[in-house]
Amino acid sequence: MKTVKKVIRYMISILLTILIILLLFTLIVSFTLGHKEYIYQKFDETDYYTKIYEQVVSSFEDYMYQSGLDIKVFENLVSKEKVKKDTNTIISNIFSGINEEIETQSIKDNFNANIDRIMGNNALNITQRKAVDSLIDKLVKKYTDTILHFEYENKINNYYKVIMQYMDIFKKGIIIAIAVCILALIGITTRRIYRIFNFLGISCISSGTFLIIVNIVINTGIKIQKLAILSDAMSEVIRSILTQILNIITLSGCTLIAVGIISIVLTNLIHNWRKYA
Amino acid sequence: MHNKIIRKTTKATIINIIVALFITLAIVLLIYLFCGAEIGEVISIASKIGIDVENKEEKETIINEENEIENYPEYGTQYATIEIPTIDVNLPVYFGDTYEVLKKGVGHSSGSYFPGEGGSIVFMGHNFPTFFRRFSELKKGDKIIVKANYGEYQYKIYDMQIIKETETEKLPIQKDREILMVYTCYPFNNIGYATQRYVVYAEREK
Repeated sequence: MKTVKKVIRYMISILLTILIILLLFTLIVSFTLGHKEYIYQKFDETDYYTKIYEQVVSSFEDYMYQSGLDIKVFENLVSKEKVKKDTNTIISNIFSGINEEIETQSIKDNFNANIDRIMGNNALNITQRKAVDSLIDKLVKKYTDTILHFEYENKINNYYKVIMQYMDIFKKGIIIAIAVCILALIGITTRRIYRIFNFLGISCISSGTFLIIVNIVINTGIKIQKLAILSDAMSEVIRSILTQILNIITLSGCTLIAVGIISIVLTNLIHNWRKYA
Repeated sequence: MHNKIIRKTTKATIINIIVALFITLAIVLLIYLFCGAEIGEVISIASKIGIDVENKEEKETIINEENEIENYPEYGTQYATIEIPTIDVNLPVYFGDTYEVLKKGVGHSSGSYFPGEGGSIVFMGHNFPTFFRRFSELKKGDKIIVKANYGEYQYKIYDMQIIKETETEKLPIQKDREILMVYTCYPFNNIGYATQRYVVYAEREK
């Protein structure tokens, strides 16, 4: 009976290890990629908005050279504040699962106002007006493409919210499962209740070691500081997020190992003290 | 007595830690057995998403006796100049046709052949006054000289055409005739988005 109980305790330890690992990964994703404010914070930290603004201005310059229009016509079409607002709208869309459109009418209005101011009202003939309208459409498309980065934003919007909702349910499920495991441990360790910390310690050490291994595997396999995805600005954000996630994994791993060792040492000390003192 | 307690505690702690490490090992092995290949693939893909600047080695572009280019220029770099004496054009030529390239000089469409290879070459540039604004002054028989960093090539203009931006068939890529096609936006004094292109066709002189 004693051996059966011991085996059950170890089985629960294994289960607890898996649950702790899953809970930590879920928590890390929830507090980083699953958190809108975290993404905004990373954008601020990496100066993402300024970089995207510079990209937008540069992309307008691409058309400036072939347009035959005065350089000043292309000035102040968008502001940094607008770029920030629109970028945040995209992120908000992804998190809330809606498709709020980016406002582009102001770009058209600013462009036409610049033409009127620099070239004079009604300076364009019908053909030129048509060509300018076509140019404005190209500029607006360039703007939205630069802000959006990719055409799958709408598809992501549909899935992201659902994934996050499931992750929330999953997280609650894991917490309940951990509680059940601990209750089960208490249930079969009725005589010396402090012994459950021994098995909890084993689970902490195993899950902590696992997290350290994961960190080593990722760091060995992927050169995070050289990752380049979509654009320089986006790459820097992704690099920053991944580095922080890996740091959290390492920190969690080390903390779990320390907590595990302390827990095991104290439990064994109490046990042996009671037995031999 | 205290020594015994410490000894027993140390022994039990070590055993517990070993058990914990065995559990980790078992989980790692299970993951490796069930989805090791998939994880390896993901890491392999992720490791390739990046620029390895340290391993970049610049090799000189050369053309061999079979008119084959060895060590093509890197995308976005200048590898030649184009001279059109009739309209005082002397501009750098870059491999690639991005907007960034076109701000600096003439772009070489990456889908076309290189000068000297024997196939069609497509160059493009803006119609700024210092670039190709004076294309309309060119006549049949005028010369275009391309000085690549692996050789110099001379072409003679035989045709000029105004095409729509969508008429890509008018810039045919063929491998057995070395034609240089240089185009710019049209009309030259256009305002707004130009939907036409002025193309100069030139054939390599023997």
